[in-house]
Amino acid sequence: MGNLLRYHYRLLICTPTLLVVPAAFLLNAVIAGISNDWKLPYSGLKSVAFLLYLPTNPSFDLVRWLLILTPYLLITGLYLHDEFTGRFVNVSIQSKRSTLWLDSFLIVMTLFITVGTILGFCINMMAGFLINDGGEAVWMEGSMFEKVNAVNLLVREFILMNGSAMIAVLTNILLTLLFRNMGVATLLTVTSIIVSFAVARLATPLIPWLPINMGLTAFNEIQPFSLFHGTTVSVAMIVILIALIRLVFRYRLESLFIEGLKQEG
Amino acid sequence: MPMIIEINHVTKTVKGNDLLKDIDLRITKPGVYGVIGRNGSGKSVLFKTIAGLLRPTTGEVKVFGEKVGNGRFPKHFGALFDLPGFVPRYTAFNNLKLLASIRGIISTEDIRQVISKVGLDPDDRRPVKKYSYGMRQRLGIAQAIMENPSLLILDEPMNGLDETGVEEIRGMILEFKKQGMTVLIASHNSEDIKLLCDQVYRMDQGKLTLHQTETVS
Repeated sequence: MGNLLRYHYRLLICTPTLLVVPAAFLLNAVIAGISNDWKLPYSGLKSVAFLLYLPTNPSFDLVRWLLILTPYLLITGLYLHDEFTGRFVNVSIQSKRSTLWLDSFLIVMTLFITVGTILGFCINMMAGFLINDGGEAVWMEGSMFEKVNAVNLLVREFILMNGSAMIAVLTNILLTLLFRNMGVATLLTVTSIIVSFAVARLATPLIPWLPINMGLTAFNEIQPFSLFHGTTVSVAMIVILIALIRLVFRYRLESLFIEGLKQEG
Repeated sequence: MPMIIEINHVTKTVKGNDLLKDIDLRITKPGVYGVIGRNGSGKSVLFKTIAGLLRPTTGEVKVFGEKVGNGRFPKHFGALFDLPGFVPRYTAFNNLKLLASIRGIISTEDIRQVISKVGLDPDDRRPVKKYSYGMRQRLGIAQAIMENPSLLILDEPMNGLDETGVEEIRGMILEFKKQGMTVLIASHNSEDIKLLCDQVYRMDQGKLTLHQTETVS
């Protein structure tokens, strides 16, 4: 297991992939800065939390939300594609157990998302301190910014955003195994994120039960739920997705060995 | 001494298609064994079943006396299937080092030697994505033999190789035979089979029959 963890780690957590995720967070900070005329309503750590506080503008911030999640989907999706179209057979023969390949991949993928999100938060922290203005007006009276201290707000955003990214990536992996086609799986995952976002806007009581949206802290203003509730729902969803992935992986294993993934185009 | 390969009444059915039909095979002595047959005749499926990648629908496959399939892989074996996948941005040496690190039983010097053995340069700094098809095929063979297996499975190893490459790989296979290795080889090329194999089987629509026998010494 240790050697397979190192194998996935070397290939998945490398400089190019670790640059893409923070770059998306930086772009998100720039968009948030531009859309607020480079005047953030809060200063210090709250300005950082504000940059990650989505959505202020529902339709526009869906784009920002997808901007943050898409790099995780593309990097892990392309990695899976490369493994299943070539290396998977060799690695299975070397490791003598294919399920170990999956388990170690899921562990390294979790690490990748966590490290990516930490780097993304660091980038946003720098951007927040650079842009931070302290604003003249209180942005939203009675919002979480008024009630919760900055550190708690950032911890909440980190945990729930990490959970959302995990759920999105696990959904993508499950669909890739089901359809044996990375392109179709990514398209369906992005669609499910958009649908979940739309459902949250149209049926607000459902917000606390849509784990793929949990990272959208601003939804918490519309329909309050605790960090404990958000974390529990996210973890439950992650456990269910992992169980389904393991099941489908076993079912699909032989077709992956015979044909690999379907090629795009 | 256990048989090298023992296949008893193996069938493999996928989505209603019989890919392997009642296959029986016993290989008791080291040597080079060939399987000929058209595309889609079942050669690759047979090899992947022997390699433990596919589970027989009925029957059983034993390699060195141990049952394989259903998550169990043979011991002491190496394999080359199709065009092997490598990390395109890595050099040949780094690709093999990465794969070898999974089991961790060979040294970097062994990796350098095996790369030289297949006619590639272990110090070549070019990434594998710049390699020709034939060079990648050689690297695939290097990957298959790097841990010095007793059983080597080669599925169309001459694919994409030029005349010199084919000659070199043939020489290598004969060298493996001298070393006492058992080599299973699938090839379209009847000349490969004629020159290399001690025993030749024909695969046709999932059925395996003995085609030609030389003396296996």
